[in-house]
Amino acid sequence: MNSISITIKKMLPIALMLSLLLPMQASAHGASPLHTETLHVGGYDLTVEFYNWPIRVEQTAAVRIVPQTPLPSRAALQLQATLVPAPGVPDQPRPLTVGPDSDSDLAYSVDVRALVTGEWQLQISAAGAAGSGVASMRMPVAGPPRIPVWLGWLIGLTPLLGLLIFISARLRRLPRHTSAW
Amino acid sequence: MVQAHAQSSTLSIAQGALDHPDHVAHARRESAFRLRAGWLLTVAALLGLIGAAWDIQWHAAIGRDTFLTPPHLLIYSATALNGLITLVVVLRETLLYHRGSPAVSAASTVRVLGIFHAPLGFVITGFGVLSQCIAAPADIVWHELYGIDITLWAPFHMMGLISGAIMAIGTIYIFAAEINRARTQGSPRHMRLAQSGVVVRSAMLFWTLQTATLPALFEYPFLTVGGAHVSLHVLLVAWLVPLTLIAAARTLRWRWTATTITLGVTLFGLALSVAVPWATTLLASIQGLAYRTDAPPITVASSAVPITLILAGLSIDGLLHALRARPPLLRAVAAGCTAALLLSLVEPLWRSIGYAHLFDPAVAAVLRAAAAPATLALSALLALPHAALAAVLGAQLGLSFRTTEE
Repeated sequence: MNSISITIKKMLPIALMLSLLLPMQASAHGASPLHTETLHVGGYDLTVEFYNWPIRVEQTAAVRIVPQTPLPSRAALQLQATLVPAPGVPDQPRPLTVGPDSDSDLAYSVDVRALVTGEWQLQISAAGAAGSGVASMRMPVAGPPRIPVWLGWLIGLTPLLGLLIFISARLRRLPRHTSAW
Repeated sequence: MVQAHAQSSTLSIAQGALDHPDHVAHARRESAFRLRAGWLLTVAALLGLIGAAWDIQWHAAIGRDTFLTPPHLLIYSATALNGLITLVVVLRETLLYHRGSPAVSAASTVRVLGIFHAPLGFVITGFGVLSQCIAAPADIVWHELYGIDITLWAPFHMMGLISGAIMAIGTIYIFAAEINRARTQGSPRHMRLAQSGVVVRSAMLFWTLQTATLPALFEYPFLTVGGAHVSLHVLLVAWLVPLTLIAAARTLRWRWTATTITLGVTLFGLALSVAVPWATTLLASIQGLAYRTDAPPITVASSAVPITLILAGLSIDGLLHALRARPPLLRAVAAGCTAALLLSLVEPLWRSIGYAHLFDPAVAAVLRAAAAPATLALSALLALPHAALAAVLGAQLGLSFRTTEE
């Protein structure tokens, strides 16, 4: 009995540390979506649920796609998703992988990740017995707090400034006139 | 006067060593340790240079889809290794200093932040590593803000390259101090190892700085002076070549220093031209990544290395020797300006004839425009005062390296 209580005491800190990871898990696929849109794609109505909104750049955000049109099984509807940058966003269209959603037999899950801040479109194409088609929705990708270019250069060139100050201090210690090479 | 100063401190160390015979053994062990650490830093930094050359190719040929690309892993492993080595040395030297070790004294170390004591070169290298550690995450944020295809002349790319240059300069100080100690201790083997260290590290400093000139070749090729074009790359090379090569030549006072460094840089460039595309293709195929449609036709990191660099090295060594009876700064200016003139006239012509045709028409046009007679002449003329200044700075920097004791 005593050894069990020691084991529990030892495990407690580890369990506490692991529990810190739980909120991250939960926020990756929280209880209720923060943003929902319904798209009519081909012959299907699809609800797209975002658990992060707006999506942050370089963040992997799980998006659920729930067909509102009754389906016999998930195999009856083929979905494809692509992230399409709006003009001016310096990137190219990124195909996404649509997989089964672990919480529901008839829903799909897509991991969305944009590498550049700006306006993106989430484009979904559906193909099934009710028809096929493509639809898009707006998906703004927010960035981290913006660093102005001048501030970037100020920080980036600080080591150079330090180097120049150091070298000039070293050179001042040299003799003014020396004939030795 | 400098020699007199060096000799007097040499004598005082030697006198101390004679007073305490154990100190000779201590001093030799300490020198051997610092030399080994200096070479370990050099190998780690070399991995970083290879990683950076590979990364530039990866950005251009495949893209920067994620932070954890193979070249990034190589660069940041090298940074971590450099950081670890520097940390171990600084902590060890601090401990020995506070224990009163005869080989680790105020004469052979500098004090940092009140408590740490370490040889100057390791302190500088440590600051270089620290600044690289800031540049890495800041660069990720910058890419997120301003896109994947930002130029190499972005704040935190430059911060990374400057950090690399600081690390190279720090390690040159390490080796230069060991040359002086080897002379005192009369150990020719240590002397040779330290001298080779200066050659290799100077070549790596050259490589790091030449990497920073790349956008001047392709993205920002011209400055406009009164409606005429001046090649920015020519001006940057006029700084780079005299500064690094003359500094090394004066540090070592060896007749073939500049030639050896330029030969090393050229061979390194050739080796990367073969290895980098191979490694990029291999790793991209393993990871199932596709090449971009605008992938560059050459190894980008090697493309700015002058093809006649060895001739520039030879001309610097030759003139420094031929003018040996003249004052040092005059020798430096003559050698630096000659090398810069040679490169500013020959290199744009070579790029225009030799490899412009490999690029798409827009880039080819830029490379050919740099070889237009008026641009060539004006750029070469304006390169001369830059080269003269760089040569003076290089000569003074070399003297500073050579006379370092800490």
